[in-house]
Amino acid sequence: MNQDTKPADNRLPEPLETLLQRFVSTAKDCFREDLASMVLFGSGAEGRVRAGSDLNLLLILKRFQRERVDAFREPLRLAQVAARASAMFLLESELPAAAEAFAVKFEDITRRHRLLHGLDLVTGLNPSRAARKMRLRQELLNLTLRLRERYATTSLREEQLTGAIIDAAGPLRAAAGGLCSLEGIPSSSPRHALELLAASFSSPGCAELPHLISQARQERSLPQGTASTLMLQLIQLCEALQLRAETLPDHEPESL
Amino acid sequence: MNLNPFDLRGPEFLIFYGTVVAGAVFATWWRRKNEGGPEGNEVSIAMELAEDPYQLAFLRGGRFEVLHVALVSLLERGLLVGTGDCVRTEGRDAVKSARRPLDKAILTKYSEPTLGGRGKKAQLVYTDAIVLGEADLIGEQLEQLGLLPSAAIKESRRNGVITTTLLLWFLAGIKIAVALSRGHSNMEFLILFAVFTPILLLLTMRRFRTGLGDRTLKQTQSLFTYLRERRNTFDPATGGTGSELAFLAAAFGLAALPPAMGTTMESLALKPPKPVNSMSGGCGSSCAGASCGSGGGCGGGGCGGGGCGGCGS
Repeated sequence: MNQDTKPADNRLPEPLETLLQRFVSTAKDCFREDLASMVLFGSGAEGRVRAGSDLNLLLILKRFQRERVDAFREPLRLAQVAARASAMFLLESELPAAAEAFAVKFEDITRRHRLLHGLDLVTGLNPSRAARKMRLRQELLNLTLRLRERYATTSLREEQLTGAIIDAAGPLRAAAGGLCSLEGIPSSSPRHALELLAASFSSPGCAELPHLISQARQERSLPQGTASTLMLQLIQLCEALQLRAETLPDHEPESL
Repeated sequence: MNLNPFDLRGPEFLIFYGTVVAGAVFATWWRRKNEGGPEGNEVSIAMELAEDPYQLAFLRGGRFEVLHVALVSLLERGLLVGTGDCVRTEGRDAVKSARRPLDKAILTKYSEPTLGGRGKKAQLVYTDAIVLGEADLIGEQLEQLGLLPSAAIKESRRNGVITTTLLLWFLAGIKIAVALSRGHSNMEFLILFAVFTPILLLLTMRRFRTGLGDRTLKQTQSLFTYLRERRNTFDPATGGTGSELAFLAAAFGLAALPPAMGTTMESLALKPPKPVNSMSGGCGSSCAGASCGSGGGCGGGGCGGGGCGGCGS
């Protein structure tokens, strides 16, 4: 499996692309006219995958009918097991509300997605700035609390702490992407956004954090004795991002 | 120029005969390769098969592999609990929780109360007629798909080998007759060659799967390469997050399991019986602490493996 590699046409490496195509075809057969749209979002939409990456799928339905969903259960299980796919089932009518409620996630989806079937119903979504701000603060606070808890409970075992750092990478990058967007800082990806934000803080070691996180994700290990320090730096970064999110203005920034 | 091969001298005829045998072996191999269906069919079948770990396990290794994967699946789901080399159901409604007939049969077998409450030996799964019957039904489904040889294919294989052998023996027989009529008697190599011919043909033709089955298995395994790559990222606390372990075992065998589940399966001391059954299921059925020795419980010298003494229920 390629490690965070990005193919030119955003196709996934095999066998994931084959599994994805099969998944799309089965979803169309099972949901028929109820399937309004289907998109792949997140890093998979850019063709970037590494061992342990999720394939995030959004199925926008007209109706959620038992017999159609039941027919879809076995193919979904195969996709979950073989490709680590996770599917979000959303009704078309719920789309605006979901975009507001999960503003950071949907902002990322609008930026990074690959249309697999039907109409592109997510490009036009525009979560309000207020919702994006509120959700960003909530997610950063939640992440900070979780990291503190994981540090307290797992730092006696370094390998478990490394796992916690790996798990935190995705949400942290997404939050960084959201913050950059709210501040009007251009970034090419959530990963890039985290690098930009980390470099802007003066605390020691902060600028290197994103690279160490990437290393942990790719190698699933960290140099011996570094996980605890890295976790504490991660918590500090989250606190700093929270403070920054608190001071975001209510209006859209001038383009930088 | 004389083109009659029976006029060839001994060594030349052996080369000619060897070429004919090689051609027959190649034809046999080609025929088996195309058994079940033409190339290309495996792509769509592999996708269907990939959704069912039990069918995949049977295709890979036969009925006992299905039992292994079923045990992994039930342990992964928490419906079975392993203690040493024994298993028992967990919870009163374990049997009801299962959907598949094979799962129900296994859970029913291990749900009966035993002395000491440790359950029954996992090894007994190989000797339960109902469990084996359910496993064999999966094999029949694969035969219908052309992935395993049906009775008709097996007969066709047999007839093919017999016919080819007879033709080759006929060829060798004529040469021997011609040679004898000309006063030659040094035919040992030709006779030896003719004797080994059916063995070669049998080795080429006698395979567990059809050609389509081989291709489908390869194709299906390739779909699970990503799962195998991340096998060490499963949550160690649970051994997985759903059905990963069952699919992993189905596609690549018990050896591919991550250490946590691999150790559990090892401790069950599963040893599939040989085709000619020497044990006939006579070993004691329960894993009650009192009757199965001490210390490490029920395994070890008590009643594991081929021995069967002193472990009665």
